[in-house]
Amino acid sequence: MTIQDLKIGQIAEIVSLDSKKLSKPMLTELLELGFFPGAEITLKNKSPLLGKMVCVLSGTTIALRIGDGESIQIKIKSI
Amino acid sequence: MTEKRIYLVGNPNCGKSTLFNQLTGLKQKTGNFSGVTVEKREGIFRTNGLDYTITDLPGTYGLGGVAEDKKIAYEVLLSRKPDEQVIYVLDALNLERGLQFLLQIIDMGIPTLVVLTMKDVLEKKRIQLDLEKLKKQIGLQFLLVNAKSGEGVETLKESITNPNQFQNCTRLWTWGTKEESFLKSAKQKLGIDSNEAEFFLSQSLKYLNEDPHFSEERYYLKFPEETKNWLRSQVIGKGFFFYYQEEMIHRSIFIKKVLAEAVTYPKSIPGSLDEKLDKVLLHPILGFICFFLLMGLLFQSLFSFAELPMDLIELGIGQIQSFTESFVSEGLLRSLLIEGIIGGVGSVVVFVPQIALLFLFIGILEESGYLARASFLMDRVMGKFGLSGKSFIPLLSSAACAVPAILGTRTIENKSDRFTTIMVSPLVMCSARYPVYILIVGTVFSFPPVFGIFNIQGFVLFSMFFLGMIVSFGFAYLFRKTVFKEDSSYFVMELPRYNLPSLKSLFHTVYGKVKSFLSTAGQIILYISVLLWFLSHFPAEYKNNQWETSPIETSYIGTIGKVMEPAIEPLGFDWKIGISILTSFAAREVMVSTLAVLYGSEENEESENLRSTLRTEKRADGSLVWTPLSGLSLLVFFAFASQCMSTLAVTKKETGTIFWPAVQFLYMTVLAIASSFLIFQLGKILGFS
Repeated sequence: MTIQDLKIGQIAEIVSLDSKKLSKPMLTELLELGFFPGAEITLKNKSPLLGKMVCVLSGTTIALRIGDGESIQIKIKSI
Repeated sequence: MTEKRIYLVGNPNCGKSTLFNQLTGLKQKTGNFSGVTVEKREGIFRTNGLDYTITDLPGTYGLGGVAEDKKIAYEVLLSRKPDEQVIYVLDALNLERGLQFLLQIIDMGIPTLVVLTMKDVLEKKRIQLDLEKLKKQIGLQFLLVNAKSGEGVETLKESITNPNQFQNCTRLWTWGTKEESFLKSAKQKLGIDSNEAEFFLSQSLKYLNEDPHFSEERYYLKFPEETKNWLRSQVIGKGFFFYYQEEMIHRSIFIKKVLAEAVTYPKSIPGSLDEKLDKVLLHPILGFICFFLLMGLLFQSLFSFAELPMDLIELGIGQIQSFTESFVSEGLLRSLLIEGIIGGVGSVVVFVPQIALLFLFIGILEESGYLARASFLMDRVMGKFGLSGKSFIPLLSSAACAVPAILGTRTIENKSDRFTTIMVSPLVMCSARYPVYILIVGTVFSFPPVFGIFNIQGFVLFSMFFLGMIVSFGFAYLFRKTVFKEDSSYFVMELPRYNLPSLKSLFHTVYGKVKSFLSTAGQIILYISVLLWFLSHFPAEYKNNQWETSPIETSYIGTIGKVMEPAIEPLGFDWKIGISILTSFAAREVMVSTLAVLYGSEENEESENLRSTLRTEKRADGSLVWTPLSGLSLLVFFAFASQCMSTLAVTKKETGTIFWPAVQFLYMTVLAIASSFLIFQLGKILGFS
């Protein structure tokens, strides 16, 4: 499953980043912001109207496009 | 007196700049890092007869990026002299991410002192940090500082003078077992014992592994041929995980271990003010309402607050001119000084209040954390045109001036997005177009208000702003679909905590921006206005002990105007307008003063005098030159034409070639001519005049 499938408030662990789908600059930016396998991620908010989701990774709030979320594989940790 | 250099390094939004201002006060200078245009802020901090030069490196999240500001931070640290040290600024609320970058700095073998900022927030959030444990685990000196209030800054200043506070430690994290045992044997075989040499070795290993992030050859090339061959035979095809991504994971494991011991978070985090604000400001409807209210307020105050200082500056320039007049006797020198130099430079200085205000507003929006939210809201719209929300900030600042806007694109990591934004920024209506628009609109659209309230002139101005935005978005789409196709746009952005902006750091930002605006734009305008002065006064003859200059009609520029008249006639312009278009190539606002000189009346876009002269100007066949139709054609011409030397110069700097400014100039000029031609010719066919 990907972070697209997360529900608000759910905590998950990042399993992998799809380096084929993501462009190189985006992959680098994601890694440096803390999106790497093993990192804990919480979905804070989702706004389909704006096409955005807001996640929290190790205390930092990060926004990204919902569409880009399909390249980030996760597994649910708890509800 | 000896001088020592210290680099200030850290993540964006970590309070680095505020700390920099605290340390150096007003003893700052801004410049560029050699070879690139990334802004370099340096300041002197003096103590005990020692001078410390503090360089504020651009905030980055790590050393793997390709954006200009990240690259420069990396290059500077890599080529630093052995005795140069680093103060690492660590945001106490973003420890995990900050430590990730700190570990990279440690790996490079740089003597480092760590400063923890955001002390106040830490206390407010009841987060407990055990500094002693951190010091022990990392092996560096940690200082707690509140950059905003200045608490702890004195201790920091003392620590800087003590070289023992800057420590050098060995790599703290470990690779996987397989990689680690290979590293150990390789280090033994190659006789590597320093941190720095190990850094070179691991970079070479990543290169040999064809790491998509860090495959730089240069480290590998530093090794002798024999070593290179040995490394090749040992690494290639052996399935080692020497990758940047892998490195970050292993660092993160180490960091988690450290933090688990050193930090205690409060049991429950109550619904904070940040979250409440985000509920409104990021809301798909309420968010946009707030956004438009803010923007409206911004532009309104931009033009109303700037009016008084702008008038004062104009008055001052007039004073200087008349002062000069009383000292220099009439002749060429006086004309060069007054019209060429003072007048030319004055035309730029007059925009300083507006630019300062704009940067003040943008500074407030940025420091408060709102700008990231605005990008968040605008991303969907920008995405439709192939751009990302990050391009919104430069496009917004283009409304004051494209020069700082183009400089501001540096934070865009995606090169295609960045270049597209640079190419279309000059289409947004900038403040230099204002005087021109006001003159044209005031001359040709002097109708009474519709229904007694709707002022048609205001409406036309607003439409021009809208037109600029729409066309720049349209061209962004075109550029993105044709020239800059690689790496489709994306949006990943940190939403920083809301913060009260600090007055001191706002002042420094505005001061720095205005200074760099004056030096980049000011210089070019000075040269061009001297050249224009020459072209509009010469050929001159030396008669009766004094120079007799030509009137503008027979000067070089007048001759050029007459020659080009047939070419611009289909656009609805006469030779005088033609000349003003030529002179306004350097800067758009010069158009107004040129027309004033040509018509020999007072130079002011508000002056009724110049407008009424323009309204009665006739062609050879007796028809009026300034009609609503030719006015519209001229408006559109000024909206699209690339008439700004400074913008082209800054585009050249930022793109690194002469090619892109050439493309920018050509596409904008062609667009301007074609649209003016279409409007004038279609209008004539439809029977307008």
